[in-house]
Amino acid sequence: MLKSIQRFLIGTLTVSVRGSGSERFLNTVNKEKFKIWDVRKDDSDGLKFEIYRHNFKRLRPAVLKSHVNIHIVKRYGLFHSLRNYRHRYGIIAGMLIISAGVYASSFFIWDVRVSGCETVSVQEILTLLSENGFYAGKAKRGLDVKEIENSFLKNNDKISWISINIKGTTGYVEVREKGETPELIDSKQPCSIYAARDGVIASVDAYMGYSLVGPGDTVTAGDLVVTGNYTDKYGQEYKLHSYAKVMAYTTHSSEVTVPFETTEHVHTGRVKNKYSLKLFGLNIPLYFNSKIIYNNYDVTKSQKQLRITDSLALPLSINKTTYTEVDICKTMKSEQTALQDAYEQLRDFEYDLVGIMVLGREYEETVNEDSVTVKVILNCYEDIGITKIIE
Amino acid sequence: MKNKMKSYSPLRAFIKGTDEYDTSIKEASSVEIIGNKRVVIEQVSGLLAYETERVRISTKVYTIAVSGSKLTLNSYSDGIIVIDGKIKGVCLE
Repeated sequence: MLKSIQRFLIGTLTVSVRGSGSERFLNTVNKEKFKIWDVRKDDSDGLKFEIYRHNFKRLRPAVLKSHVNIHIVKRYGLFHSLRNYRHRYGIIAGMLIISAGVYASSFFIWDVRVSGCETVSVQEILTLLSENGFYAGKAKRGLDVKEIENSFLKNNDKISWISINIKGTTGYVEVREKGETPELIDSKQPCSIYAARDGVIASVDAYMGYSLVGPGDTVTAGDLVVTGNYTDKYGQEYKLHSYAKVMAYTTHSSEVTVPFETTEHVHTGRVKNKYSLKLFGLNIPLYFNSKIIYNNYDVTKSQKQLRITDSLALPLSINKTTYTEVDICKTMKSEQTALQDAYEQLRDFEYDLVGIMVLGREYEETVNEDSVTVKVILNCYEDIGITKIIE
Repeated sequence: MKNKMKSYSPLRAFIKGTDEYDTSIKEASSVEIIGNKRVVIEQVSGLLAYETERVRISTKVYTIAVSGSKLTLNSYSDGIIVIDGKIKGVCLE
């Protein structure tokens, strides 16, 4: 395979040899520094062989010495293929224009790829980048990536880190989202601890501050549990930064109603694709009738960017919009299935309770005419203390 | 009876080495037959005859005749000849 490519690029000739001294000719050629291959007899008792086109003139001494006649039977290779088109000025001009276009387009960014998104959508990142001056179609010359990164981070509170790398005509954007950090209060700031929700106190470990409740006490949300105000026996008032762990038995409840009747989108099998070409940011529809004949349909859009290599994108992309006809069907769920769905949703609710120990569950099912309702009460054990600054 | 160990003698090794060094073998061509499709002959001094059924090759020591059908010379350069085709026999003359 590689040899074939090499021979095509360099260019080869098929040469025919006639005369009685063909063996002598081959022996003479063998002593030379160039190579011939695929020597075979032709129909008229002559010889044929292959040789690189640049070595053809070097056959002359061997021809004179062995008294044979040679002539070129066939030419093969890139140079010869292009030579056939040398008078097709339109093709040459077209190739030159395309080459110039590809070269000129390499000075721009034609594709922006975003990675690292978890909760923030890629589209949102692209919009924000566009506002900060980084978008498909932007010239690479004079582009200050550091400035764009800084400006992006200043204007966005969801992203903690961004990196923009330009490779070829593709901009690779990597982002890290900010995690939810608890509100920190300065340790020198006096504060008290309050109950975040209703519950029965299990234990209070006050590392700093004075506990106002004990195990077995009932608190409601907003009650002061550990105070930072302290008055000594001389009547001197102090304000402390309270720090305590307030563990309590609490309850969390949720209710889910699942109707028996649900609507489903059932595909009919009829699909209509509409294509459009995006050239240098300009959208060119490749269809005449933009009307959609279906009453109910789902729409999916996809974009295929044309690229020479992975990082060398061209300013040309094909957009495909697929319209899939659907029948909106109303289906009836059985009571059992509706209950299963309700329990599944309640399980999701329980999974979302992070840092809370669930000690027990009490379910209550109600079957209505058109739906089922399931209520759950979770008996929990959790830290209910929240810190508030003393005014 | 005394059991004597043979001692290593550099002179003996040299004589043994010169015995093994045979010029007639060194100058001989090597002939490699790959299946019945290819014959590779090295140290070729000349091509005597080339037909599609028979190729005669001259080497320093002897003449090699390769017989078969649809014989072609895949390559012939630097004293190495590669003959392709349906090989029926290789004969040293």
